[in-house]
Amino acid sequence: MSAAFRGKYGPLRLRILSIAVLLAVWEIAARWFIDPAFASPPSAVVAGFGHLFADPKVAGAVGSFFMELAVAFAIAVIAGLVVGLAVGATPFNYRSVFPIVLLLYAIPQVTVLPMFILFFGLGAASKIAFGASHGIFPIILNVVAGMKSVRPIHVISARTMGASKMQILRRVVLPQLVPSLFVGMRLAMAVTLLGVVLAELYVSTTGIGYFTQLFSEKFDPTDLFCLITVLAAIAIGLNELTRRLELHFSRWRSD
Amino acid sequence: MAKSDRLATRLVQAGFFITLLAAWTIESALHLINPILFPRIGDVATNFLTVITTAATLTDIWTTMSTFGTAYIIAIVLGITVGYIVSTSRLFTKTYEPMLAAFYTVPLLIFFPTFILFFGTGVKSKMALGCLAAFFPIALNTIAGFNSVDLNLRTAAMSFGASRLQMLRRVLLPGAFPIILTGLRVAFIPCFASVLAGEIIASDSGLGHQISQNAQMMETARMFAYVILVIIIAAAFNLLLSTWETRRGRATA
Repeated sequence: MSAAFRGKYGPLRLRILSIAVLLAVWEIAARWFIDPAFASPPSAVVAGFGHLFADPKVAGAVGSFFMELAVAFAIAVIAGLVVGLAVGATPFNYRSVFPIVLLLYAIPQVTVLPMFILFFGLGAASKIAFGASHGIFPIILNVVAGMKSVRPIHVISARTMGASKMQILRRVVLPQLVPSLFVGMRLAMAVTLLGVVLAELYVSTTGIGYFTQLFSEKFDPTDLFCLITVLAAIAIGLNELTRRLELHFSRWRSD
Repeated sequence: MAKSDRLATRLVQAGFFITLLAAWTIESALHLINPILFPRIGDVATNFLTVITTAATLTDIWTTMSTFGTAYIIAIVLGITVGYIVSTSRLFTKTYEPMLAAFYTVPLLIFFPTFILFFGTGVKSKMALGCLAAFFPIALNTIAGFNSVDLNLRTAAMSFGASRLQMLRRVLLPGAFPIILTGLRVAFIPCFASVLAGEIIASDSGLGHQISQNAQMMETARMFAYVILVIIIAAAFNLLLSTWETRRGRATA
């Protein structure tokens, strides 16, 4: 390898170069070699953003995607925290209820997607419910794991010093729980995204599913590529955000 | 754990499922919910029997399974190849491993509309989606596996004059094998679920297609029957994987 890729910034330089080469190959292939009905060059995709998001309906679809995602994630975190605290509260709860949670988690959730649409309709409610049903499991699993990691000696010494149940929960259990909760939130964000995207694509009469179908049928994929690029960027951004939060909140714990 | 405690644990678990089934039976008997929204337990049972005794179901199972199998095998070949190439140099690993990891967290399903554009609504678009879902965990674990091989072993093999191929066959692959296998196991269920998801969103055949088509025709009882069939298949897969894992754990221990 040449000297340009040595040192601390070598991998970064090579990464940028690789992405540039990839984009160049795609640009050349799409311009001269591939049927324009199936691929459009990256330059056209970038130029298409303004045009696409000038359409208030497309902007509205992406906006409601965001809203559904936020509400689904909030429901997943709160409900998952409550269920997780209840499951992890006593060894008996853990041994009896946790296997049921794991069993439900093993069901391929996509199979019940049409049920959600039947129950909650074609609007935002079904997408929120389906996204939350995905996100709740990582939260439960990690909250339970966090509670199991609380050292008995800490609880016992707090009790010896006269702490009430509420004080033990607030001062001993919850601080120990924070890092695992953020691990759960990172994983939950990825699957909540998956759930909302699944429901959006399944419902092809409104929202993002409608536009992806419309754009793939009109023999010019520029709009489709634009929309998918935006969704991928949103996903990468949100995942990175939760990853940073996780790093930030687990710094204090050395083990 | 006390014996009475173990019994109570089992009772809670049994009680959960008995309550669920009992609630469903009572609801069905009293006609509380519109059967289009939530089917009666008897209808689901009869539909399930019809579904598993129809010859056409075998075709659907075969479509889904062969799509999944093909996607999984292609992903194994691509994932291990790419993983090996990336692992051959420290620079490549440092450059491309974070890229692959970042891409892996994107819900890959958002690329499904482009697969439909390229390959149509037939089995190929589901194959592509399943393959994409399985590729990342396999490639990432292959990189981790090859990089975990003891440096002393490599140096020793190299000083005895091992060729690149000999190094791969005799040193790298045996050393990396357990971690690569973990990747294959991790990729299994997402690959299967992606094929199903693709079939449910847009397709003309397969188990997922039956689920979404019956939902659209408001044949909820029949849709439930197919959902139960898919859950049984997925449960069989999970059982297979966990048995395999415990066996392997015992062998290496």
